This record gives sequence, C-alpha cells and structure tokens, in this order.
Amino acid sequence: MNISKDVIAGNNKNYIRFRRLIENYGIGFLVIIIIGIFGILNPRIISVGNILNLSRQIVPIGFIALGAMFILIGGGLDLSLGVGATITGAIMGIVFYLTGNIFLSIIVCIFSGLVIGATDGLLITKLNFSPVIATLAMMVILQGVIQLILGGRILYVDSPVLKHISRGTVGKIPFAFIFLMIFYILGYFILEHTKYGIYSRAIGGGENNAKIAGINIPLIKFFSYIIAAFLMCMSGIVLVSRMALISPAMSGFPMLLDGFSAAVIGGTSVTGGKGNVVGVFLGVIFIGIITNALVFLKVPSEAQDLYRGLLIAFALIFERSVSMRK
Amino acid sequence: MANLVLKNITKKFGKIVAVNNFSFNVNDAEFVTLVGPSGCGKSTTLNIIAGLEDPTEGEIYIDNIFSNNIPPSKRDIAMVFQSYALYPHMRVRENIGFGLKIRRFDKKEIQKRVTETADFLGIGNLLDRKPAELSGGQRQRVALGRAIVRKPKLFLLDEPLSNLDAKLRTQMRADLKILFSDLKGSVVYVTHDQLEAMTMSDRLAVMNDGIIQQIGSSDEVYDHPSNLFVAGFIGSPMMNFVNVKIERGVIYSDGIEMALTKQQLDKIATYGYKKEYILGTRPENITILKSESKIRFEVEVVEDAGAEYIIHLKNGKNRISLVSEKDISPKRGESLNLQFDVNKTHLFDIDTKVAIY
Repeated sequence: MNISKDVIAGNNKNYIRFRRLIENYGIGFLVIIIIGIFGILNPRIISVGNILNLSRQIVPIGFIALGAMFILIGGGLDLSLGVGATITGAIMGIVFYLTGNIFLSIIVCIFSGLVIGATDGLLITKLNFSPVIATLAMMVILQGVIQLILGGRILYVDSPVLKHISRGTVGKIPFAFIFLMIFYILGYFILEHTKYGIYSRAIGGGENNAKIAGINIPLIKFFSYIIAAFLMCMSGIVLVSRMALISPAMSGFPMLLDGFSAAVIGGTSVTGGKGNVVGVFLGVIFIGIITNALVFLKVPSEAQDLYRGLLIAFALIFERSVSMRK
Repeated sequence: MANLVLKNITKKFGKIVAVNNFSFNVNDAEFVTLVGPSGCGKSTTLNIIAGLEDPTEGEIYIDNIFSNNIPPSKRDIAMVFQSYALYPHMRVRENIGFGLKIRRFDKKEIQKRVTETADFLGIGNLLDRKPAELSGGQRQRVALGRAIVRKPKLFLLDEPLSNLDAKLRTQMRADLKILFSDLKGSVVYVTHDQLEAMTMSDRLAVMNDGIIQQIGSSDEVYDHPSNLFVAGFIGSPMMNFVNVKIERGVIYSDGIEMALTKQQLDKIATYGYKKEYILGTRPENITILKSESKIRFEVEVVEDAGAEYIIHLKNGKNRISLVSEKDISPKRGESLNLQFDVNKTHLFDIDTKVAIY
C-alpha cells in the first residue's frame, strides 16, 4: 500500500528516548528530589534509622497500592480496599481475642477478605454493577459492620506472631517490609509474565477489543478483585499487628486515598491498561516520605493534611505531564 | 472473505428502539457504509454484527452461518474503533500481533505476519514504538494493522477517521479505499460523514432513528434520494427545500415559477395530487441567468469557498443556496435571475416526506 505522507509527529529518536526515560523513571527522579529537599531541610529524615522506620510505615499502604494497581490496570475500581483492610484486620483481632489462636485468626481474616473481594467481583462482572457503586456500597457496609462488631469498644491484640510481623527484623530490615517486597516481586511476575497480567492490561486498554480477541473478561476482572482483596487482607494484618489494637475509629478511608494516590503517582492509569509494579512502589515511597517528613519538619498536625494534599497533587500533576498516554 | 446478511434486526434498550427491523447484506469483497447522524443506530448495528451487543430480534449470518449465538471472538471478524483502542503499554509490534498471540499462533508466524502487515501499511519502521510515540495517522494504521493481520472474514470499522484532522482524513480516505480494494475485504464501515460514505463505499445504507432510509450506490442515493431525510443528509452544501404548489403543470412558490416535464407530471398523477409539496434542488443544479427569468431571489450572503462561491438567497419565506463559479461578484441585496435544472429537481410528499420523483 502506498502510504500517504501524513504528518509524522514525534519522529525524533532522541526526543522519544528522552520521553521514555522521563516516563519510565520520572517518579524515581521525583522521589530522589523530594528526599534531597527533605534531607537538606532536616538531615535526620535521611538517617538510616528513619529510613528503616519509614520502610515499616509504608507497608499497609504498600499493599493497598499494589491491590489498587491490579484493579485499575484492568479498567476497574475498588473503593472498599481501605475499609476492607481495617475490617479484615479487625476480624483477625476479634477471632484472636475469642480463640487466642493467631493462625486461625489469620485464616479467617484472609477468608473474610476473599469473600469481600468475590462479592465485589461478582456484583461487577455478573450483575453488571458499576464498580463505583458496588465498591462504594461495600465500603459503607463494611464501615457499618466494624461499628456494629466493636460497639464502641477497643480490643487489644497481643500476639507474639503479630509482634514479629510489626517489629521483627531480618538483620536491620523490618520483617514487614520484606513481607511487602515478596508480594511486590510476586506482583511483578503476575503482571508481566502471566496470561492473567497480559489479558488484564488488554482489557483495561480496550474492553471491546479484548472481547473480540477472545479474552474471558468477567473471569479476568473477577480475579483482579480477588488479588486486590488478598492484598487488602495483608494490609489489614500488618496494620493491626502494628497498632496491637482494633478500634471503631479505624476508618481505612485515608489508607484508600493514599494507596490509590501512590498507584496513580507511580504511573497507573485510572482509565486502565497502564501501570507497573516498580512505579507503584516508588509512589508508595513518595507518599510515605512526605507523611514522615512533615512530622520531622514539625508541621502542625492540623496543617499536615493540607501540605500532604498539595504535595500529592503536585506529584499527580507531574505524573500526568510526563506520562505519554495523553 | 465472506458475505454478511442481517435479517430484521431490532435492538431495544428498554423502551428505546435503537435499531428497527434492519435488513441488509454485504456481498463478498464489498465495501458497505452505514451512514447517518449521531444516535441513528449505526454503531449499535455494527456492535450487533461484532457480537458486542445481542439483537433483541432478528438473525445474523456471517459467511452463511447463523451467528447470533457465536461469541465475538469466534465470528472471525476484526474491528477498528474510533479511539483506535491500541494497548498503550505494548509496542506497535505487540499491538498488531496481540490477536494472533491470544489465538496461540506460532511465534514465527506471528512475527512474519506482523512484519508483512506493517510493511503493507508503510509502518514497518515503527514496530518498536509505543502508541503514545505515534502521530494520529500512524496510530490509525496500527489499528488497521491489528485488524488485517488476522485475515478475518469481515472488517468492521467504527468511525475510524473521525479523530484525524481534516487534511489527514482526506488522505486516509483514499488510503483505506486502496487498502481494502487490495485486500478484497468485505467491509462494514460506520460514519456520520456523508462525504466519507459517498467517496469510499460500493454501497451505502443511510440510517435515521434506527431505520434504514435507503440503500444504494453513491450515485443512486445522491441522484435519487428515496425521501426528504436522505435528500437533506447526503450532499454538501445540502439540498434546498421549498414548499410549493402545482397548478396546471407549473410549480409556484415565493420567487419560483417553473414548468415541470411531462414525465414528472405523470409521476405526480400516478402518486396522487396534493395541495402542497416540497421541492428539492441541489445547489449545483441552480444557475444564474443574465436574462430575465421567472425564478428570482435576492442575495443574502456570499461565502467564498476558495474554488467557488456558495451564495445564499431568499425570497419571501424561501431560502436557498447555490454554488457558482467565481466569474461573477454578486452583492448583498442584489436580485438574481435563476434557473433550476428541472430534470434534476426532486419532489417530496409534504406529509410522508417520501420522494414522488
């Protein structure tokens, strides 16, 4: 076929190389810059002790962000991840309070999380509910369930296993962080090297096309909600093990916002089809470090949310401007 | 390649009828366009052919096989979407080969077909790019590549040019025509752009409100529109319509007095007399006379379209436009003597809007 001489935009190879560099590593540069700035403002922020502490702090959000990435890449949305994490954590705490058996508690916690994920998945894939409606309703229901179960009480959860999860280390590295890393490596493998990962991205990239290509869309989407729910449970376990208590005040909503922000800052497209595990991890570090640094910089607690919000907004704008999906 | 037959397809969304008793066929290696305004049901029809929507009633046959219950992936069709729907994370090579990969084609075969297709489309040098690194026209070619690499029975194209700028659209129109002619592909093409439909298709089906208004070649639809909608939708600038009365073989309206031909009068007699009719005349079939005429209109505005003038005129309640060479320079308010090419006029029933001749 004779090609028309259409306007060939962006044919400059150096320009493309530069764009790819920025797109792939832009969030990395941003993290380095922000660490540098905070380090100058207060060198203790970049001390080994604080970095190890930070690596422990980011774990619950890290799991939520990874789950959010799996959902978003397939073109879905799950607003129940944050509250889901707190309720599965709470269920673990309650079962432990009642039985004293931590392993049973963790199994029940994971099972309840999978039920939440499966319910979301079925509502969306079988009953064609909009993901916003289904998971928003789930979020509100779960919030109500927490209130109902705890009835205003605070339950203390004191288990050596949970203590090890929250405070244990391997060498100097927190065990919880290693736990998170294992799941990020697994997540990378699932996303990049399994049919599920390839198909999920294809669905997020264009559902009708995926349908014509012969991808089982409901099955893949359902699986995404299951993966996210499992990661949500991991987040809940780490959260409760760190706090050593469950309380009706645990809303999980800020965790949802942080998790989704981290995923999007890390290059996950909210419209689906795009995202990578390394980017999400860097997004989590970004969220973690600004939260941590604002405390170090003695920003008044009532102003911290405002500054955090502004910095997250800046990062989202940065990601948007370097992203090539425009 | 294959033929396609749609029999009495109806699609309802609740009480809304998106497609109403739609029947048509696409012959082997034929390029057929569904054209109509937004919301006329053309994309829904395409989605029904693809299997992305189920018809409420009716039958679909692809290659003479009853296909209503066959899932989209088994219909052996390829679809190109308005948004291209390229996978943003995949390079051009992977985008084009993705459908083959899912169908478990051998890696070497995928590579061979992808290279052949990309070369055929003139994008062989772009195989390692990602969609975001391509221009609109290049993305369009990748979307086409993804469709043709599978050598499907039927191509379905949903407004594939509407995201391109005007200049590129004109180029791609010609390219697509050449491409599918070379491929000898059976194509169903959807567009709201009547010019695209006219220039590219072997036949076009004009749709409105979920109903086929007319099916025919570009010439048939342009020269013999079956009703007022088709007459108004096809052609740019659009056909002029004026309400007229006919007395003793002569058409009367504000600024118009024109004798009809015997053939036209016979057709009116056969159809049955009405008090009033709608007369249709295409702007290019009106000429400006230097001598006196019984058709006189006053110039409202003159549009300079580059190669020609489009002159808008009025007389009483009638407003018309005509296309003229640029050898005259009419002024606003000037009265012009006109001639309608009577053999190229159209008459419509004022109530049913059906063409009488």
